Amino acid sequence: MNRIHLNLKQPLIIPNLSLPPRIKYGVNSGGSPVVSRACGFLLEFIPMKIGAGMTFLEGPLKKVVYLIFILIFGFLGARCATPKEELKTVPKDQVHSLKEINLEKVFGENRGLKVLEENATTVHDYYRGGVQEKEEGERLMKESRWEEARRHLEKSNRFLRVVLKYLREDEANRNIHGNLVVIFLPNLLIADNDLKLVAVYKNMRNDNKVAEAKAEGKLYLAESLKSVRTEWADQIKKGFEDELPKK
Amino acid sequence: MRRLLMPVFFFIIFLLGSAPPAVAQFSEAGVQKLRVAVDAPDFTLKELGGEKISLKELRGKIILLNFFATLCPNCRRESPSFAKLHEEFKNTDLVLLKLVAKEKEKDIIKYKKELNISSPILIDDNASVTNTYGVSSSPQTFFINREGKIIGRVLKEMDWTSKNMKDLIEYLLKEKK
Repeated sequence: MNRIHLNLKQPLIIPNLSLPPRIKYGVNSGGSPVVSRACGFLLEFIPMKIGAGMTFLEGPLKKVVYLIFILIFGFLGARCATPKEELKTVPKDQVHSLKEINLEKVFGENRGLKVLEENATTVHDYYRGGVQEKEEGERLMKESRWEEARRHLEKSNRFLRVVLKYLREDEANRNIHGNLVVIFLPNLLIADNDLKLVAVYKNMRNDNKVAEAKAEGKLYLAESLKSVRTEWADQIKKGFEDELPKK
Repeated sequence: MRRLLMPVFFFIIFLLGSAPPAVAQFSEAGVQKLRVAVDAPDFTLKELGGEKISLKELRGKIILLNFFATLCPNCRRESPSFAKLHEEFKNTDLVLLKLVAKEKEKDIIKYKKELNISSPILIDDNASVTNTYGVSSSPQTFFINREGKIIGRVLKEMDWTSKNMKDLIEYLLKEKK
């Protein structure tokens, strides 16, 4: 970037004209030939008009000089501005559709190398581990193996809570490495686990745990909705509402 | 009897406190040893300017699988020592593989030339292998044993020619087939 260092508060005494302009007037354009030429011309031109012995700020061209400097800085600033096409922002209240963000997609992104609690060290390990345990828990639920499902879903929550110690906010698209982007919703996944756990505990006739899971799930759901809005979250919300005692 | 008690006590403490040799080898080399070895997910990828390489076919060898990115400065810094290690252990059971995801072939060729890399570079076009291995930062290197299990990993830039690293590799190569 080009930088011009010129202190206009201090009156500049016009120095010996035989010196090169960039040194004489303390101008360092940072190597840009266009800016160098512009500054050089400006500072060579002004002394001729002002006359020897006069200070820079007392000259009749003071306003013109200021204006030109403003234009130069404006021009440099405009060059640094982000082009319009790069300014793509996602509105915070945008609701991500189920097609875009769903459980199957999250499972797909985290399959592969098995993450064990003993081996996990990074936040990403814990997130992957949480998702992998959730997938296993949900599979066991479908087979009505409630006790085993409970263990996996609770373990999934343990993993995800570790993630939340370091990264509290859900993100629809989290860039993790190079061009790799993943769905990162630890709060929502805990809420979803809790909703599933409500069903598991009911089948295990553990009423205390049912109430606990409901209360916790709602908290995590609210936390998730603070950062990302998804149709999936709306579904979970409805799931919790359906669990409320009917009047 | 009392005299004997103290030395025995200290000896037991020493035994409890000292790590098993393998763990010590790993930690001295700066490698995180996995407490439980896990199966390395299989893959078949095209090598830069060459044939397809399958992990399964390399069973029986010690593999160092290094995930990198051409624009990552840490990867650049460690690449020369990785290349040196490859040269030094060329005629052993050690296989060094570099893996890059979602990058243009011309950039990879340039990188290979610039850093004089002689080990195979695998191209993971759609990042499926990178995702499968859960790679979230680069460089990242997995140590895979002869049985095809991941036994350790490194999540940072390394000096692959350090004495401790070479000792660890020698140790792994000595393990029975």
